[in-house]
Amino acid sequence: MVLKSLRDGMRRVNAAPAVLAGVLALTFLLALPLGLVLRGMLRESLGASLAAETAAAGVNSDWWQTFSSEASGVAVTFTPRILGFGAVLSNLGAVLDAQPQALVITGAAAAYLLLWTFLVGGILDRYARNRPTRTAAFFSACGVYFFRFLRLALFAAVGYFILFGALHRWLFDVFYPWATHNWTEERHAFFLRLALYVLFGSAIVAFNLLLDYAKVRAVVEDRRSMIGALLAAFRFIRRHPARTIGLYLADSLVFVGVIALYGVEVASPAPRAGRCGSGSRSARPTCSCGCGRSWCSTRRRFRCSRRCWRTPTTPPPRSPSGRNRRRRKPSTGRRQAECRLRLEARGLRLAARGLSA
Amino acid sequence: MRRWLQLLIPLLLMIEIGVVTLDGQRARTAPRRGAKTPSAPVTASPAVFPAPGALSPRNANYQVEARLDPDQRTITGREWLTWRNITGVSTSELRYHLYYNAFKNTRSTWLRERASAGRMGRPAGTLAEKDWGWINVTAIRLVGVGGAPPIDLTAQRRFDAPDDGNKDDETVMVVPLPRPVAPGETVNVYLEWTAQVPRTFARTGVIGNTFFLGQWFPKVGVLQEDGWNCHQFHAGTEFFSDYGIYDVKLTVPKGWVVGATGVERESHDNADATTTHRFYQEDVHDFAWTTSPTYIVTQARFEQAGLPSVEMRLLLQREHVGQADRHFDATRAALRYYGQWFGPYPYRQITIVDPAWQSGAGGMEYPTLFTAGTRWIAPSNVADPEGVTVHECGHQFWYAIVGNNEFEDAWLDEGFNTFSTGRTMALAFSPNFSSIRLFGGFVPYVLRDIPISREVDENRLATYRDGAKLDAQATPSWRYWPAAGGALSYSKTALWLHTLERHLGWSTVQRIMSTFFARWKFRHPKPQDFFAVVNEVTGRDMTWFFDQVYRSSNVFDYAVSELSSGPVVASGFFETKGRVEYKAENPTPGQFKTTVVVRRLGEGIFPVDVLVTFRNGEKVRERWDGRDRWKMFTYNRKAAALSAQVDPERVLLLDIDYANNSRTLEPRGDEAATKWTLKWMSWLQDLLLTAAFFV
Repeated sequence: MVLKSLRDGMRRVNAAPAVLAGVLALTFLLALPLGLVLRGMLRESLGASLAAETAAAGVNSDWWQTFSSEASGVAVTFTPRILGFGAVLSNLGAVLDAQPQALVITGAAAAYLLLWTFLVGGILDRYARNRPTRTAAFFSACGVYFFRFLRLALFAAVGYFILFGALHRWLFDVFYPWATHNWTEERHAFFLRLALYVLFGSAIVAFNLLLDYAKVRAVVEDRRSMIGALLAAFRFIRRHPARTIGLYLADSLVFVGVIALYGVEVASPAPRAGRCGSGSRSARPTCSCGCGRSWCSTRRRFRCSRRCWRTPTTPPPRSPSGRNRRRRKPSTGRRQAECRLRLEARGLRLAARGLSA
Repeated sequence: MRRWLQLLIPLLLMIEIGVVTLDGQRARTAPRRGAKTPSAPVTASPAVFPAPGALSPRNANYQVEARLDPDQRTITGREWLTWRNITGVSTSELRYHLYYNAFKNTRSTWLRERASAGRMGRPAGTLAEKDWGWINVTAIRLVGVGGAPPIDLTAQRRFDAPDDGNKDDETVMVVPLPRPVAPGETVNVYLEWTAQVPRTFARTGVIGNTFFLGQWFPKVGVLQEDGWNCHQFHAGTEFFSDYGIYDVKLTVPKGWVVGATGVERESHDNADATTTHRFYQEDVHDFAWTTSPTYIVTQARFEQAGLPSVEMRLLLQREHVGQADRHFDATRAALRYYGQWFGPYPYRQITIVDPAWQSGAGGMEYPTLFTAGTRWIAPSNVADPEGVTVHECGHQFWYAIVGNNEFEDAWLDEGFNTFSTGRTMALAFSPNFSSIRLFGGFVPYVLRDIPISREVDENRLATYRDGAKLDAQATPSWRYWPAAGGALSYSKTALWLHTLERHLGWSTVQRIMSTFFARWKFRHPKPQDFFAVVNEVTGRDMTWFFDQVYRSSNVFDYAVSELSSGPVVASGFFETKGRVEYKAENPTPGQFKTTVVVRRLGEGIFPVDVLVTFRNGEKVRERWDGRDRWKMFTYNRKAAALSAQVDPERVLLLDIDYANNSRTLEPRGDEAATKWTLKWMSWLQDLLLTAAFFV
């Protein structure tokens, strides 16, 4: 049941490449102004220097250190952490360790989340319909759900503030130092920290799961009350804990798979010492990772929709999206299912490679 | 009559108390039992005066007995100091370092300085009572000679704060003597003390059941011609003491592993479930030890043609068992290269201590013993633990053998050693790569695009750049601005030594350093002693160089500020075929005019080369003394210029911005900026998508 739902979610995402492209474009466009600012700084620093030749051909660590020593604003984030798979790992690490970002990056992220809040209604609506919609209809749905999701976002902000501000702080700034204060073996501390990551991650996931189902129910059932959507989501998860969590875990595994694929692609073959590889070579995996992650992100919007609909305890859909949805033909056999699974796996690989294979 | 009295009274006093021996042979006798003073333990009769073949003056000799109570975290000890005045001046007091009192309370100079540097670590309010450290000298007696009774000096002791007048600082103890000790005379002093071992603030302390004990006993300062050199314990500097013989008995719980300065001569079990280990070492100026029941002991031997073999004893943490060879290989590299370049390691054994995780004791040097430092996950292509192991082992040469004053001239050992470490690493462990640590610092990510370079990374140019102007290197190290020590002692010295290497050649610099090493081993050199050796070996007066790098905080920064090249064009009236015509532009076919302007942006002056490369492959090299603020070079050539570089071989490694040292007429700055912007944008987009998880 979980896999069927997962596959159906994938199918719906794959059937709407424009959404995927839109997410990629949105992310790129938001990063672009900051990128242009940084480019100006880099250009000014490198100028007509021969150091630019080394920097263009590979990594000029010497120049980089000089540049960093005088960096301000967005340039303070231009560190070796951006290199290769380290970028993905450091971003994940920053979330798990609740590391604050530079002010300008925090501002960009806030704007991005606001845009997501606007778009997520349209995206879910598109996936719920499971058929192409016109641009006007897409943005109409965005507008319909924006203020509802904005209210939900306020609730989410409070929840995440508690999770990061209180739970994380207690776990990692109070409990962890207290527990490991006299430990002399690093591995023990590592495993404790790992356990705390799992614990904290579980809390985040649980909250995130609740918010996801609330959004889905808000769209599918055209709910105006976000408290009602949250309560409905909570009831649903409570009735189907194994399936909802299983679906979330399956979705997370896909995410991990995409990240792993990216890691393998970046790590192999090993670059020559002192060289970073050509721009195109390094751009390809980053592009594929971005595409894959967008794919995962957008798919997550709809990962639980089928669970909502197929369960007999769920009330019949009332939203236009629900009424217009097309019934999926039942599976005709195991072989056919396996065939679809293979196709999905292939689709996953394609997505991970930036649909550029 | 008055003159007679002046001579007679001290003589009578001396005979009465029997304190000061005028005869060196008598002083060689082990301290005898006084009324209440235990006699020195029977030993192998360590020579008080330099025996034939002694490597050092051996004027501060210790016999110590210490008992560790791990439950109470206390050390109870007693020591017999035999101290000889090797200066030309008398002294009427002895000065002792009581380093552990730096951790007594937040009013100590060490903790005040630490707090002002923002490196307090755990807030003082979170420390438990047993986490603090202190040392309390409970008895001081001048040991009589020839059966004379000892003199109790306990009541006369006082604390002094010669550096900052901090009355709350108790890291220097002054013991007035009944009469002055004249040059060449010897005194024997007996001390008893109790110390509480702190939870490590820095270098020394306890974590769990692992004790690392450095600066743990009352240690006499250094008497110099201008008086006692016995500084308070400062947060930013290390230590200074005289050479001698250490004969130390350490009693620890039975079954615990002990590593210490010197060689273990014997050990025996006691009735109270303890074991006493006896360590002995000649010609060292400090003694450190460590004990824990969890150490894994591994041994190997250093053997290299032309150098004496050395037993290497490694005390390893259980979780680092797989890294034993890495520690040994790094130690071998240091013993080999330092030995070949500067002089052989003179001791029989070296003890490598792999400190416990978060012990705070890693990366520290003591005579014949040092602490390294590694991580549970330590990628093979990242030079950790190799880097720290080579560096700390290298301190055996620059600190232990050449015993400079680390309070005042820390750069003499730290800088020399950073330079030597970089050279060794480049030869023995290259390539290795930069790395970042993620997920709480546990998970390394190797930046295989960034190999560690000797010029920039091993010399720590970035650190120097950040603190270049904070202080002049000539400022006594303990008075440096708190954050300046790393930049000035380590980085700046390594950079200017490496600059000298490129300026004078390695063979010259190697002769300089080996001469300095040979001349000042087992002695206490001052900076001018090194400068004198430089001038002597090079045959030049290098004062101009040291005026800049040592006596000032000037920085060096040369740049190519302008580069233009185009056809040679003249304008005005020109004669052509017998007619004079006006021409606004009169190009000379096949001739290009190139103009290069180089500038001195920093205050530092250094002679540099200027290299101009032309499109036809021709290269022109100019020599510029680098004194003026700018210098223009113009050329008429058959080809246009392609690029210009000032200091193209990067001789001047102290140049704080090498990116502006060149200019090209085919710039790739746009291309590089675009490439790196795209990479950065990939990171940013990934960050945004990660953030989108929460919506």
